[in-house]
Amino acid sequence: MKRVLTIAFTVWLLVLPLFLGRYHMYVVNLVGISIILALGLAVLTGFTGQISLGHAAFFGIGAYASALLTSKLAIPFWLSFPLGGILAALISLGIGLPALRIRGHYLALATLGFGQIIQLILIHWDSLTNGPRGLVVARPTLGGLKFSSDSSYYYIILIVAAFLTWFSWNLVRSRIGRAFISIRDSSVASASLGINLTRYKVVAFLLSSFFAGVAGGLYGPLVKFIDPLGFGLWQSALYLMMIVVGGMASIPGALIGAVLLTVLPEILRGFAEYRELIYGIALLLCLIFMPSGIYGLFRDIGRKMKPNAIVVESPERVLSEKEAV
Amino acid sequence: MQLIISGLTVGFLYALIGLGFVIIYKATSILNIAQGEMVMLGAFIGYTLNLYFKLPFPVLFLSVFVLTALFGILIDLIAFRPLRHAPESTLIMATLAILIIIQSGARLVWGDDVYPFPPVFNPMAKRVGGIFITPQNVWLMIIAAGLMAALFVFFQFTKTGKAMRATQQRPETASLMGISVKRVFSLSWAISSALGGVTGVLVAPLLGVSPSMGWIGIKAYAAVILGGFNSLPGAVVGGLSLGIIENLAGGYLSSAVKEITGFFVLILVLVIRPTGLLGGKVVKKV
Repeated sequence: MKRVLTIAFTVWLLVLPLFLGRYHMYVVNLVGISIILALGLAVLTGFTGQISLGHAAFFGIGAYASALLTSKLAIPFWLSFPLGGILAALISLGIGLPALRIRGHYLALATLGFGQIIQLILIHWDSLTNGPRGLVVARPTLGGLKFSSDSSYYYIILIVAAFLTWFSWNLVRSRIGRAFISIRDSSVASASLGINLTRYKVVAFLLSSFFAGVAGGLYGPLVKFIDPLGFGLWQSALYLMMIVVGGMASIPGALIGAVLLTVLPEILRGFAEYRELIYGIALLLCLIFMPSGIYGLFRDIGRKMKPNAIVVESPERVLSEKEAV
Repeated sequence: MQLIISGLTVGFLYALIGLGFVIIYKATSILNIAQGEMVMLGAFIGYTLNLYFKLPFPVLFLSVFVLTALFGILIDLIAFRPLRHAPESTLIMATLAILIIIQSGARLVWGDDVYPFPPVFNPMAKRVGGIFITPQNVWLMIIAAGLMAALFVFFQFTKTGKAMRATQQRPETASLMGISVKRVFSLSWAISSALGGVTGVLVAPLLGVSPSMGWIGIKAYAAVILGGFNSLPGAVVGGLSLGIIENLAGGYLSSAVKEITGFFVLILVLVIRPTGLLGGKVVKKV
């Protein structure tokens, strides 16, 4: 049964462009990019318990790096967008190493500042980034194939998003993933078990920055125009909201949140003016009343439906006990 | 010398914002990234009161203090009392939610414009022994220093202040001694928001009033890390030093460098001395 569903879902994803118009395909592509970003943040925040308030900056670095590598150095697209991710990851080391070395949430403050700095650099480094006027990004060609329509570009995003979903799915169930979770739940206990706290926290931050950079590299050609305003604190907050609303410490939760928060604003265009306010209130309500998100809600309902099932403590459980400082 | 004097003015503002931040962090261990928004809110409340009622400055100052204090209590009651036992990362995200709510709310009410705030004190520079000093900046520093002194007296000598310090050290023991930890938390939010609010009134004549003026908070956080996360004097020292360093960088290098000095100071402190200049050692007890 499960296999049939999986195959049906895969086929549905593959034939999706046949049924959807241009605008809808564009939204689907945006969803794919949000998924990549949300996965990275789920690994960092959901599983490792560290917060980045500057992820839009890594997204922006990926977008600008990939676009500039292609336009100025004529590096092919299939190389330039992973390079954008690698650059974002390298830069994240510069913040992650000092900020994650120490206990406490220094990363949140450091990334908050970093987000502002990157936006300032994008605006002021006129000769490279074209300043506030932004950059025009072309759709890629791969070995003779042109991906100029939204439905053909969809397949590139689909492949990358599917691969990274598979990767994160396995990562959080691996030895490394378990180390992440144990750091989140009790850093002292993990350290006493021989887990190198700094190393694992930096790895989580590195991975999530890489994801954001890759997402940025894919984002540029999709929207065909990038400017510094698209990579500010509001965007960083938006990606965090995705994983909170969907369910912080779970891969399905990240997917749900990414889909929901990308599609909803397109439906609720009439309320665009109130969007930020609504999102802010929704974030607060979610944190208070639904800390494990939509996915957690469904999971709990599913468990209650099967009263005889043996409840296995899932790795997603978030310790409610606050660590004493 | 000129650069140091004008840097000091900004430094006092950073120090006030930083103090609010540290008060909340010490009492509730919440990293409040919305402190800058309190500054913005205070500035707008001051602007509105000034526009409609033409209050004299001391009355205006007090009204903003009281109103933002009430707002701080409201935040504590709505958001943080239910989240009392939530993990630290959840609490940070809750303050992010509050930042978004205040900022977008302000944008809906007042629009995206920068409103000029009439100078309260004389902004014309006077020459004193080769240095230009404006009465406005002098007054600003006097008021800021007065607030700090008041805060010191409050924490050191009043019963409530002592109760707050006790709670900061050990909430459990404090509650056994008959201190209401809940009330201390609310009071911390009130004091810290009020500090942010009046800083807004002080900063408004210099920068103008706009929904995005909360960015000043981000620099103040760098100042807090410089001074030491869990130390009130540290916030003052960090704020003043950052104000001066930033102004020197702006004067000798360029104004673009000035904007990002705070961030580099932050990273440098994390590399060299993560506890900051005056921060005590953080011992983690299981």
